[in-house]
Amino acid sequence: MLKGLGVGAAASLAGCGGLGGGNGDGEQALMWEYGFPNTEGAEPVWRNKFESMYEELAGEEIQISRYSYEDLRQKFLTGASTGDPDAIEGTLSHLSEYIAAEHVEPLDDLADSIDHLDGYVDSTVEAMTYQDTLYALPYEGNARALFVRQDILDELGQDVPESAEAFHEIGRMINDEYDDVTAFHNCTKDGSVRAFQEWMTHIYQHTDQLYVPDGDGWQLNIEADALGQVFDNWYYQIYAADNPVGDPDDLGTGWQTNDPGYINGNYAFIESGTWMRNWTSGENIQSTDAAKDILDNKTLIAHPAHADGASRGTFLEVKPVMVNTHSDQIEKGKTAVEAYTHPETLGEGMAQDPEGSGKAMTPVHDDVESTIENENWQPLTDIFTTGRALAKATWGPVREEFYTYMQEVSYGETDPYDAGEQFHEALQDLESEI
Amino acid sequence: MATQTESQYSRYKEEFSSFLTDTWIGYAFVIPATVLLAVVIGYPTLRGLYLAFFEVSLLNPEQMEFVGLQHFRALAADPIFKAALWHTVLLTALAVSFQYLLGLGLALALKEKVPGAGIFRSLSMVTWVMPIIVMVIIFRFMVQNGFGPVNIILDSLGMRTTYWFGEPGVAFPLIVVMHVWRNVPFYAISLLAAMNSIPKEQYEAARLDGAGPLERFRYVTLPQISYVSMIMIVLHVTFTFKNFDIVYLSTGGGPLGNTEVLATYVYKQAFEQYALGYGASIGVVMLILMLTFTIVYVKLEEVD
Repeated sequence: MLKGLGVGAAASLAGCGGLGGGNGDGEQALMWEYGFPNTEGAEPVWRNKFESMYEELAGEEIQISRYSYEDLRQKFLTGASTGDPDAIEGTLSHLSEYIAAEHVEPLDDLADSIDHLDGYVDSTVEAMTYQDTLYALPYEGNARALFVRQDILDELGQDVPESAEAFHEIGRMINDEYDDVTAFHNCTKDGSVRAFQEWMTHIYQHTDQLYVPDGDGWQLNIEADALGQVFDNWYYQIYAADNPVGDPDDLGTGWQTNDPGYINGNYAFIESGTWMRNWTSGENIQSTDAAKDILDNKTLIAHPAHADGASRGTFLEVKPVMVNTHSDQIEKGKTAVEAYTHPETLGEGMAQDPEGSGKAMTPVHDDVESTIENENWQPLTDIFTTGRALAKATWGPVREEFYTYMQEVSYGETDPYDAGEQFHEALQDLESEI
Repeated sequence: MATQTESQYSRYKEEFSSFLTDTWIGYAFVIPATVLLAVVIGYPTLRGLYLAFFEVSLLNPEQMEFVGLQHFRALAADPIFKAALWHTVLLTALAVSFQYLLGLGLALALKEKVPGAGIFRSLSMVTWVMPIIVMVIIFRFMVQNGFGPVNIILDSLGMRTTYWFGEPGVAFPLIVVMHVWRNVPFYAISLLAAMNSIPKEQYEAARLDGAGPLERFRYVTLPQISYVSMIMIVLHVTFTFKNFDIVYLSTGGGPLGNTEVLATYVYKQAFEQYALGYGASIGVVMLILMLTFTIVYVKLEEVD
């Protein structure tokens, strides 16, 4: 009950405004973030660089509060109208929701006033723009890629599969030949944001955008058959078919199984991102040496395989930094955005932070050098250019529909093409809601 | 005569003044807590009740449209809501029943001063104070496909292994097990405290009257732990009925909706579908059910 009522009350508090905004002109700016890595005792180089950059630009210090992305989103959606925080970091789907809720300040004037705007990768700035208005600046990007166990393919004398058909064939070959390795894993947990991103990766192989603007609303931009193909290739064949490419006993798992599973050598293929680069220790990693060997010597990065009639394309995550439009200190918020996305912060801070260097592998700005040193990881740069950012729709209802149909197909309850038809209808019904 | 009247008047005045002073001191103590409760509990509750009659989006909470009982009519026809309600009631009934019975059994065993009881008492609250996310991570690890301890044991016995939270038909019982695992020691300690407060003479008298162990439990122990039992049951019924974290973190309501409960459905409606009004109407149903249960149970306990 309290959850439900708390939601309502929190939203009403957010909606009633007039509760006073921010910290007042004389106070430090407040920023909410989840981007800085948890350095666990080591010097937080990136965070320090951001703080010093902000101090240089604003002439005072900044307060930083850290939340998980889920908390960040909920707290901002329900409490932004109180004026706190002044600036916020997040994900692209957050940006869409904040724009719809009118919680973020347009930043066109900031963009005009800063020197480094021209250096951003065009697609990343486009991802921050809605109806010709810039609502955020990007600081980090990564595209979903296929992580391949090159050593296994070499042993089997196979090339990296480009088509879904070849992918299934090689996958089944791996399952036949290896007892301790499963060919592929993807996320199928209800509510898993990662599962949604993996699905979008394959949607972008069939269409530039799932929804395209149509007047003030959205229009679905994919055929039912393509949805069926995605369900067939990436869920039915993986878990529900007679000779599945994945392990049906992994059904219902999320990223907690996916990423560490690959690093621990349990899977030959997964779809993942740059954050994998330095993940060689921690509670989920069985052996640091083995993890380093897999990531440094046995991994090849490639474009995710695609179906017949589809083409290269993948989910592009670009992380935005935004200003709360209800803040009393909007200028300080803008300064925080400028400092956070400044090439010096990204180049010297993010790239040099030993825990954060994965984030700097595919930089969003020309003045920031990529930290990719391993030849096998070089394709990430090329894959990044094929990435497509989420349209500025509000994706929550789409995600909820997806989880239902994805699980029905994965568990073999519904034929993938029937699910594609039904899902297509459901997505059409959402055109006016998102 | 005049002096007597004056003296009576003076006494009444003193008493009235004393009453007023005492009462106002009482009010002074109560008011801050009352105001705090009104703000922290009263306002969200009333606001939630109010929202249940409006169409309102999380993204535009200022734009509200009065829809009367429309949300409640929609709930009556919503299959996911009906399934979530059934799962919630079943989860609450099973979890609280097992917790109480196992907690009672454990309390009786501890009362008999079994070996290791002291250590158990010291460690018993660990499961209860453990953050839910930690508990979920432990359980997820235990049933992990391949290397989870539960699967290693099952495999050594030649039995099937899988990621059990992803298995329809098993995920729901696992959620029940998590609730039970978390709360049984707390029940045991609370019931043990109630049992220890029963005078030994009553057991002696019952024994002299020829009562066996079962009779002593039925006629001496049980009636005198009923008040603590009531508090424990009411608290845990409400806790389990509205619990969100355990289900959401372990299964997200899946697989195939098998563990969807009202709390997760409220969350999905409010934060994924942005349907604040509809989410609030589910909250109202939960409030009514919990209030009804609490009132009826407390009344029955009073009659008993």
